[in-house]
Amino acid sequence: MKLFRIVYSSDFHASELVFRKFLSAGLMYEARALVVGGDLTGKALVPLIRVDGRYEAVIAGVRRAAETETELKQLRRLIANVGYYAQEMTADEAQYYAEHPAEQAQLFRRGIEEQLTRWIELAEQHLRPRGIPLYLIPGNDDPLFVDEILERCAGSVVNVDRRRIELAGGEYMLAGLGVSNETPWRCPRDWPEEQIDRELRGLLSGVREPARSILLVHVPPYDSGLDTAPALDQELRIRYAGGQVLMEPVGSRAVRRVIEEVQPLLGLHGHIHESPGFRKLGRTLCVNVGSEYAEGILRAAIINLERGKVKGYLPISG
Amino acid sequence: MSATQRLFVRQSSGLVRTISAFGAMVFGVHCISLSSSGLIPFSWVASVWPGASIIGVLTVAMILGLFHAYTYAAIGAAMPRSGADYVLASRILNPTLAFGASWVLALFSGVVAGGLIAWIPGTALPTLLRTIGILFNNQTATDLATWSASSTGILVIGTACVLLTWATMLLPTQTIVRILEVGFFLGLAAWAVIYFALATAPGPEAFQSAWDRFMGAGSFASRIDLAVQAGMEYSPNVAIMTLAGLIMGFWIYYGYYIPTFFAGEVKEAHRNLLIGAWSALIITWLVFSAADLLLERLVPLEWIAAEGYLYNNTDTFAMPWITFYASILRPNVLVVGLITIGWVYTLINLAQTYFFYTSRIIFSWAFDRIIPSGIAYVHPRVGSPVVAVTLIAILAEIGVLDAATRGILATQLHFVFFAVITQIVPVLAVTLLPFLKPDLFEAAPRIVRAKLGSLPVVTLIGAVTLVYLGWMILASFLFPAVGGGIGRGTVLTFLLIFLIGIAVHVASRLYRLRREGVDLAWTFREIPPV
Repeated sequence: MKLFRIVYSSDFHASELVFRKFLSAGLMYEARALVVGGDLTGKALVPLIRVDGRYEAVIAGVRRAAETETELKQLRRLIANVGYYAQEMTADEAQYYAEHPAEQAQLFRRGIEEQLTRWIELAEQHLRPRGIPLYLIPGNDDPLFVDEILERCAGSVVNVDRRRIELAGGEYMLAGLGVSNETPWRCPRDWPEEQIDRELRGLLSGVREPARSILLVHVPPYDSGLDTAPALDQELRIRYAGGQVLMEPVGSRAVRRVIEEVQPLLGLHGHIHESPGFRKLGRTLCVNVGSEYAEGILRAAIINLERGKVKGYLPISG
Repeated sequence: MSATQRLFVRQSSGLVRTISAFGAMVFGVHCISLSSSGLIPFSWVASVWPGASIIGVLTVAMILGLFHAYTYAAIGAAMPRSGADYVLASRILNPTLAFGASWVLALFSGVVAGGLIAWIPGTALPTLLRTIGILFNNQTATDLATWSASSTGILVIGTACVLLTWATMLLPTQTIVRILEVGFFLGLAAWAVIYFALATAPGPEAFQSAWDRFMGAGSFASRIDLAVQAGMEYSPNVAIMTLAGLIMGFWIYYGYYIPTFFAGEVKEAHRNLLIGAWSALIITWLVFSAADLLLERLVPLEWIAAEGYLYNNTDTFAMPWITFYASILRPNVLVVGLITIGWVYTLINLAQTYFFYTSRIIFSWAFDRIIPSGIAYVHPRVGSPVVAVTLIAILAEIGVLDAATRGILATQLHFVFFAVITQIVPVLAVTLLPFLKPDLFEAAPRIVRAKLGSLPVVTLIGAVTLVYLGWMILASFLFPAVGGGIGRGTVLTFLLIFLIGIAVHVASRLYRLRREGVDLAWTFREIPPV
C-alpha cells in the first residue's frame, strides 16, 4: 500500500490564525488526512467597548482602539488570532455581563458556535475539492454543546468522538475519545479514570488488527513524558519547593493501561501544552504536539504510515 | 478596574513554565561563576593591562554585557523553547547554517565544561591548598597543591569532578536547581567572608605586614620591582582599558544569558530572561567591584598588577588571588574553610550550568529530528536526559584530558573565539527579524517588537551586539594573552567542527527523506494561513 500521510495538531483554543495555518499545512504537505486532538474552543472573551464612536479593548494588558471599520476589523482579527472571542458592547453592558454569569455564558456560546460553524465551512471549502478528510474530537475544555455543532458536520469534516472509522480504505482504524481524566478545573469533559478505561475498551473491542489502529484521545497517557505539568494545591495554586515549581505527570492512567495492553500503531494526544514530544510505549508511538495558540504558532506533526507501520514523523511549527 | 480593562474568562485549564526570574538569575550567576570569574579581575585583568582600572574594566564590560543580554533575552522571548538561539536562527536565516553554529557551540561547551572542571585541580584547589600550606605551615597541603596541579592530579581530580557533575545532572531538574541555589548563597557567603577580612584590616600597613609574614620579609616591597624587571610596563590608559574591558568582559561575565538556551523552561520568558540576565550581570559586577574597592583600600593597583604579572609571566612564586589576600588578613581555619567550601562548590555549579544548557541545545536538535530522538531520552523516574548528559560528560572528559596534557584544544582560552563566532548567527537572525519575518516580529512580545521611532530596538541593540562580537573576534587575534593565541590550528579546528555539523545536518536530512518520507526542511518552513 502506498504512503498515507497524516497532519496532526491539537489545542487550537479558538485561535483563528492557528486553525487556518493547520488547514494550509494539510494542503502544503499533501496530507491524506487531517486530524485534530480537541480543545477547539477559546478561554476568554474580549469586550469591544463603544466609546464616543470608537471601540476600545484591552488585549494582553495593552489597550487598543479602533476608529474606523477597517481598524475594527483588524482589531477583531487580532483578538481571534490569539484565541479570544470579541463582542461589541457598551461599558454599561460590559458591567451587566460581568455581574450576570449566565448571560456571560450565552455570549461565550454564541462566540463558540459562530466560530466553529465558520471553521467547518472553511475546512469544507479547502479540503473537499481535494478529497482530504478532517477528523476531530473535542477536548476537556470544550463545552458539551459543542457536540451539537460537530454533529452537524457532513462531508469532509468528521467528528470521531467515541467512534471508530476506517482510514486508507480500511488499512487503518481511527478511534476517538475527546476527554481527559479529572482535572482541578473540573472541565466539561473531565471523566473518572474508570469511565475512560471502559469507554476505550469498548471502542477497541472487536478490532481485528490493533497494531493498525490509531487512538485519538485528548489526554496523553500517564507518566509518558507527554503529560508533565505543574503540581497544584487544593486552591489551584502552583506548588513550589525550594522556590521552584513542582512538576508532575497528570495524564490518564487508563489511557496508558489500554495503550500498553492493546498496543495500537499510534496514540495521538494533546491537552498538556507544555509537554510536547514523541514517545514510544512498547510498539506504540505516542504524540503530543503541544500548543502555542496564544502566540499564533501552529504546532503540528507530519506522520507517514506505510504497510501498517509508522514510516516517519516530523514536528512542524510555523 | 474599568470596563474596558475587563476580560471575561471561562473556567478552563492553564499553562505554566517552571524557572523563575530568580532561577534564571542563579543560572546566570553560576555560569559567570562567583569563584573562577571572581579571581580573574585581580589575577589577570590587572596584569594583562598593567594600569588598567579593574573597576573600569568590570564596569565597561558589564555595560556592554547589558546590550548583549538584551539581544539574547529577545532571542529567547521570540522563540521561548529549548535551544532558542538555534531555533530562531534556523527559522529566520538558514537551518543548516544555524545547526552548524549550534553544533560548534554545544560540542565546544561540553569540552569547555571539562576545561573548567580541570581548572579546579589545576588552579583553584592549588590556590586554596597553598593558602592553607602557607598560612598554617602545612607541608602536606603544599604537596597536595603541587600534585593537584600536575597532569596526574588534573586527570584524577578532574575525572572525579566530571563523574560528580555527571551524577548530579542525573537528578531531577528541581533538585539541580536547588543545588544551584544553595551554591548561590554559599558563593555569596564566601565573598562576605572575603569582604569581612578586607574591610576589617586597619590599613595598607596591616596588609603589607600580613603579606611579609607569610611570603617572606620584604616580599611585599619587592613585588613591583620584580615585575618591572620581568618586563611589566605600568601605564594607565583609558582607551586601552576600554578595549581590554570589551574582551575581558566576555571572559568574566560569560554565562549571564544562558537561560536563553532553555527558554522553554523559563516562565514568562519575555520578562524573566531579561531580568535574570541583567540581574546576574549587575550582581556579579557588584560582588567583584566591591571586592576591588576594599582591596585597593589596602594595596595600590600597581602592586596588584605586579603580583598578577609575576604569576602569569615569570617563574617567581606568586599568589595573585583575592582569596589569598583575604586569608592572610584573617589566617584562621574558619575563614579559609568557608572560602574553600564556597569556591569548590560553586566551581562544580559552574560545570553543572554548562551540562544543563548544552543538554537543552541537544534537545532542540532531537526535537527537530536532526539527531536520533534517543539522545534526548528523558528517564521516566528521575526526569533527567540521561543520554544527553552522558554524552556531555564524555565531551567534558575530553576537556579534562586536554587540560591535563596541555593539549591542542586549550578550550578555556579559545572558548571566547568559538562562542563569539557561533553567536553571530542567532544575533544576526534576531537583528534582521523585523525585516525577514515581519509577521513573527509583530506577534512577538514587547521586548522583541519595541521600537525607537521607526527603528526596531532589537535591530539597534542587535547591531551594537554584532559590533561587540566582531570586536572580540578581532581582539582574540590582537591580544593573544586574552584570546589564547588564536592560530591557524584553532581556526582550522573551528572550521572542521563546523563542517562536520553541516555534514550531520545534510546527512540527517537525506536519511529522513529517503527512509521516512519527511523532509527536515519542512520543520522550518513558514505556513501561511489559508
